[in-house]
Formats: sequence, structure tokens, C-alpha cells
Amino acid sequence: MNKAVEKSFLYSLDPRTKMLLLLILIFVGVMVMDPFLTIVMMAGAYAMYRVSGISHKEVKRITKPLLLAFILFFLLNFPFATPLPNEQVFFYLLPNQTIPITMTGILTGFGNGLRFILFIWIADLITTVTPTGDIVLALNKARIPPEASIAIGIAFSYIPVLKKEISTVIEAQKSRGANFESKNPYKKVKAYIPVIVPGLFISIMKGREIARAIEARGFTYDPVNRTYRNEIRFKGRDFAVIAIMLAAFAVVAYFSIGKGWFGTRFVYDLLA
Amino acid sequence: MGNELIRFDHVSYTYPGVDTPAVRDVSLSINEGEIVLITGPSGAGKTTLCSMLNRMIPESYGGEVKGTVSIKGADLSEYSVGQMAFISGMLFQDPSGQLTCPTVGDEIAFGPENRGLPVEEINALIDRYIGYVNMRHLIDRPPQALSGGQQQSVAYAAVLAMEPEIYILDEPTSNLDPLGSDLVFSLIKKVAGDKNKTAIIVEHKLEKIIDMVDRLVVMDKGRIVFDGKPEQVLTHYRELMEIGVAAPQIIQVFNRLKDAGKADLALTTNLAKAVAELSGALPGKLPQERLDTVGEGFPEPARYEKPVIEVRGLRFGYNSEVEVLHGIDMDIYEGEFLSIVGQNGSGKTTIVKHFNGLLKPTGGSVKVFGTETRDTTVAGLSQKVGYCFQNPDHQIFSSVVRDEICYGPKNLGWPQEKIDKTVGEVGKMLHIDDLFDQNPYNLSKGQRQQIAVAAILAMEPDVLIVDEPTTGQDPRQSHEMMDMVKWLNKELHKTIVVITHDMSIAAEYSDRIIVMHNGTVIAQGSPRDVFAQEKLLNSSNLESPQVTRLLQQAGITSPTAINVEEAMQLLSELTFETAGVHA
Repeated sequence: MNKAVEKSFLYSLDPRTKMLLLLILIFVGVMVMDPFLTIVMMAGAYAMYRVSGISHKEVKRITKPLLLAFILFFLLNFPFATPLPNEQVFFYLLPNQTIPITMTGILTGFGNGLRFILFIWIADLITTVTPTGDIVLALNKARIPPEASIAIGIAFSYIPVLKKEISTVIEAQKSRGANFESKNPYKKVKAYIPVIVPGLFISIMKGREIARAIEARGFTYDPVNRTYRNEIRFKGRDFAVIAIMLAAFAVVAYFSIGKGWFGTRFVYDLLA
Repeated sequence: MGNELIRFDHVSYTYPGVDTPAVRDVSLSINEGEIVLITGPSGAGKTTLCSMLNRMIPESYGGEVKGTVSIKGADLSEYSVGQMAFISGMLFQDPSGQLTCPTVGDEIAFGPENRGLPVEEINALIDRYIGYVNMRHLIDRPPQALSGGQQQSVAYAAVLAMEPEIYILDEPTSNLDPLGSDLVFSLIKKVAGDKNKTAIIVEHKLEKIIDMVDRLVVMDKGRIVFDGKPEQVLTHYRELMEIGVAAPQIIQVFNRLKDAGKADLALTTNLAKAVAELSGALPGKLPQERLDTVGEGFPEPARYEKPVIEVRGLRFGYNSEVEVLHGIDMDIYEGEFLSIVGQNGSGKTTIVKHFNGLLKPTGGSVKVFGTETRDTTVAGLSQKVGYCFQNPDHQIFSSVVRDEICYGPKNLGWPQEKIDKTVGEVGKMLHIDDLFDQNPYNLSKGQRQQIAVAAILAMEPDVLIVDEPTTGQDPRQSHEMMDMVKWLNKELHKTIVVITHDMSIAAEYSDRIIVMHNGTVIAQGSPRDVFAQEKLLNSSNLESPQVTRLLQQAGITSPTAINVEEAMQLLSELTFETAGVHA
């Protein structure tokens, strides 16, 4: 983790505050269907990235592989959204007036694709600014059994190791003439089977190794009464953030559920 | 030496689902403060024996134990793995597989935290043992971001922080490069020097460790076949060779001099002492002309002249900020057996990944059979250059061996008839055609490695890159693998490029060696030419074979002997001043 991230406001918050922040942002993301408002939230998430010491280049690196998923979300959503009664149909995708293309459909496709990117950004941002050890401590405070919390902590620590293993598998299969660049989605998925199988095998082997290693370090000695060297404590800034987030959540929930705002066409209809 | 600490009394153990016992009727007693080295070929039962000391066997693995294992007279069957962890601390082979915490400090704290010690005591243990392994400056770093040697040092500190009575070190350097191994060996030496510690070390690399231990136990097929002081056990070097244990080269030379009635030198496992012993016995003036005549008879590798891979001014960086290769020039010649040696991070894997296009130069050029790698794809180059990765499990994915081998040729778009013919031929060549209908995951690691090589050979490449084929293998397995690669070179005329850390293997099999250091080539030539440059090798933390250093440091600087046979040829020309004294 770079020094700028470690000095950031988000990093300094209690991990439970960050978890709550993550949950509230996801709930708000679910309630706000409008693509324009989603863009506003994305701008907010991007600003949070930057003030947390994460560079534009890094955000770009995270976003690039999501673009394919964005296109898939768009394609799978826009033709199937239910149009409003008497809504103008731009054209039909198939003959016999099958699958009408409407503004509601286009906005739904965009909205869902953008929300997918937003959710990944939020989850990435919160995990980036939360040390793995803090996640374990937060889970312990939530009375999750130590077997589960330590397992989750180890899983986070192992992500870079598994990434490295998978990239070696990809290189090994490329060296055998494998082609992962096919434009045909079926062929593309099929091409990845020689990566997925060794990847799973290596993960299972590593899992066994880790299980034995932590047993050999006395993890099964008395897990319930083990010591946790580091402690987490709520500070004033945590209470402030929680209060603001809960208030924001209440406002969005009130207008969204109570008044029916923030639907797919909310801003479009206001502007129209 | 103190009182008896560990006792195995007629112990046998069989893994679940297996008929043959892994350990058979072993009786062994180890005293407090003893440093014991257990060696033997893979599958001899060394790790199994050690795993009984922390109750991993049978608690984690299942299976049936017969006999009694006790520590200080207490039968271990009464204890759990959790309790035993603080009595018998175990360091495993693979450093990355045992580091589970986000920072180095957390890693060292993990064991004491599990014991439920107060925070102040845990912090004191971290402070003591992070200093012990000289890694205080890395305390907040994620262990996964460290080098292999550093990772193993952290894992070692984590075991030390549990302050167990017994340290079990299970092949702690088998996955490390020479620099990482040296780092870990220096820590083992530190523990060995502490009189209160009892340590059991399982290791194949005897040369580096033998000098630190009090006792050598050799296992084979689940039994203890030798047990005693290292020098005494190593006099049986021929029997040890037969079961796949390579005695240090200095021991082999001294024993052979004695057997030949040339000189009865005091056996020692320490190179410096061996050099002193040998130089003390050498005649005052060496018969240089006779030695040169013997040297002229040493085999010289064939010279190859037709380049198949041409590297010119190659520069490369994984990102724009850090350059890894700094303007490399090299040629790979048709039909040669080339070894590229160097520490981790020297750039040897990075450069060979340019040979099949996995990496493209950021500066300079790489031409394979005249084609710029920039202008072609990995798939296109895979027909010319095959790349065998170190771990076969990185490539095996089929449920049937035949399908696994067919994968490459299918990717090349060959007609089915040609695929069947080639795959059948490769299977016969490597004697694995009887495994074709089996599931590769049910086979041994050695067989999986053969399948991985067969899968590459089936694509009929002219050049074969083999990445660290001997890492983690015992001497016999290493030689079997390298014999196969040599056969491909000699009989099928494949050009071979091997990446290795093992200098004895490089000396034995290569026509030519390239030494890399910090992204540059610092030496290249025949093994004899390269190993004659001891200072240069030392500057990149590499060492020539032990026998080469023995003769050079004892004063026989020319000609350069690169294996025990050559050393014996030179030494047999000399009249020793102690000849026959003890014979």
C-alpha cells in the first residue's frame, strides 16, 4: 500500500465505518436507477479515489477490464426493458415488431452498465483503503468465529499470489499456441478452460498448504481465546461519517421509495 | 549433548488409501541440543517422520501410526496439533505457502497470538526475532512482496517467535535460489550455534548444511539406513549414491583418494578445512606439464556456429519506470545445450520469455530463425520455440494424458492424422505411451513433468526452453530429468536452453553457460571457461561446483576441473606427501 493511501482520511477510519460506508453506497446505488445520477455518483467515487491517494492511472487500470462487462450489461439490458405505455419506438431489433428499442431501454442499459462499474469501484476503493488485518478485526467485533475471520483475511492476502499463479498459467498455455483473443464469446470462454482448471488445482493445493501452515503455527490451540495484537476503536470522525451516511441514505430512501424518484428516466424526463 | 528429548520407538505409518507404509519400523533417539540432518531420496519418509513430531500426522492427514513417538518421555498421541505447535515448530518448503498475514510483523505475531500471550509479550517477541533475522526494516511490508529468501526468513522468524523446544526445518531451501538459500543457511547456522536448540533439518543439498550438523540420518524406503556422525556416514558415499543421495564433492574426492591408496586425508565436511588438508598434502612443486597434459584430455564441448536466436541490444522493462534488461547481446546456436544461470531477478527468465514472444523488447531486437519477434505472435513462435515451465501443474488441464499432449498441436491447426501420429511418436520416445488413457492428476509429479515436456515436444519445436527443471527435486530426480533433456539434444538434435541455479548440473550437461546478473550478461563460454572465473561468479553470488573450488583454492588453478572425475584424473598425477600414511 502506498504512503499517500495510508495518510488518507478514508484509510484512517475504523474498518466498521468503512464497511457501513460500502453497504450504504451499494444500497444507494441500487435505489438510484437513473444513469445521469449514476454518473454523478461515479464522479463522487472517482473524487474519493483521488483524495485517498489513488492515481488516475490506477483507476484507469481497474476500469479497463470492466468496459467489456459494461458493454455486455448494456446489450443484455437495453432490448429487454419494458417500455412506457405509448412510448416512441425507434426501431425493432427483430422482424414482426419483436424487441422494440426505446429511450427507456437505452437508459436502462446505460444505467445498469454504469452501476456495475460503480459497484466495482466502491468495493475496490474500500478494500484498497482497508488493511487486511483491519478486516479480520472488524469481523471479530461482529462476532464472526475466528476460523472464518482469519480465513477471510488469508483470502485477501492471497489475491496477489493467485493472480501471479494465474498469469503463469496463461503464459504456459500461450506458449502452447492458445489464443485468448477470439471475438466469439463461446470460443473465448472455451479458450479459458485450460487456464481455469490448473488455476483451480493450484488454488486447492495452496489452500491445503496454508491450512497446514496455520495449524503448525498453533491456530487450532485455542482460537476463541487467541490474542489480537491490534485493536480497532471508533473515533469522532467515524461517528461523523456514519451520521452523514445514514442521513444521506434516509434522504435517498425517502425520495426513492416514498416519492418514486431516481427511476431510470428521472433526469431525462425532468430535462425533456 | 543433553538428555534424550525425542524418541521414535518402532514407529510405522501408512497414509490413508495406500498399501505401502511411508515409514517402516523406525527407532530413533535425539538428544537435547542436537542438530540432526535427515536426508534421503524423495519418498524416503523424511517429511512423514518429521510430521509425526507436531502431530500433523496422523491428525491432519489421517492414516495409521504404529509404535510410539515421545518427547521427554510423554507419548505424543495424548497431544493435539495445536499444543504440539508450541513444542515442535515446523518450517515448510515453500515460503509463499506458509505466509498468511498482511505484514511481516503480523506474520511473526501469528503464533504467539494463537497462544493467547499478552500483547506486550507478543510485541517483545516480534522485536527480538525480527532483529534475529535482520528484517526490522521490512516489518510493515506484505510478506508476499518479498524475495523467496526473505520470505523464508520471515517464516523462520515466525517459528522462532513461538519459542518451541524443537525446530523442524523441512527442506527450507529447496525452492530458493543460491542467494536465498545462503540467507536461510546463515540463519540455520545461527540457531545451530545456540546450544539450547534442538533442530531436525530435512535437506537434499548436503554441501551447504552438512558442516553445521552434529548427526546425519539417511532414510530410504521408509527406513533409516545410516545414522551417525556426518564424516562417518559419508564414508559410505558409494552406497549413498546408489539410493540417490549425493555426498559433498569434497567427501567423494577424499574417499576416492583413500580408496586408490593415494592419500589418507582427514575427512571433513567443511570446504576451508578440506582446502587446508589438501594443500598441506600436495607436493611443494606441482608437475604443471603433466597436469596440462591431463587437462588436454578433458572433454571439450562441441562448437556450434549457426545462430537460431539472435539478440541485439535488448532492453526491456515490465513498466516504463524500471528497466530489467539493459542492452543484451547474445546468440543461441542450432544444436547446442545452453544453460543460463543467475540469481532470481538477474533477468534470465525475462530474457527467455522473449525467445517465444511472451515478452516483446522495449528496445533492441530479438530474431528467431530470422523473424523479428515483434512481428509475430506467441502462437506463431510456439512451433519454433517450445517453453517447458518449471511446474507442470501450471499447464496440465485435461482429464486424459493423450488430450493434454494433443492440445498444442490442435492449437496449431494440424490435421487430426498428423496430430495422432506425432503424439504417438512422442509418447513412445518418452516411454509414456502406456499412460495415455490415464488422468494426469492421478500420476506422480515426475510423470506429470514428463507429460508437460511431451506436450511441448508434440508441437515439434526446434528450440526447447526448460525453466528450472531441477528445483525442489532430489539428486536422482534431477539427473533423470536432465538425462531426458540431454537425450532430446543429442538424439533429436533439439537446441536446448535450460534456466538453472544448480551449477553442478550446468557443469555436467551444458555445452555453454551464460551468466546473468542485474539484467546483463557478465560471462559466457564453456563450463570450464566460466567456472575458472571464481571471483566473477562470486560477484553475482554464484559459486562454481565445490570440487572446482577445492582444487583452485588448494593451488591447482590450471587446468580447471569441473567434476569429481576430472579432479581425480588431475590428483592421480600427483604424489602426496601423506600418501599411504593411514592407508
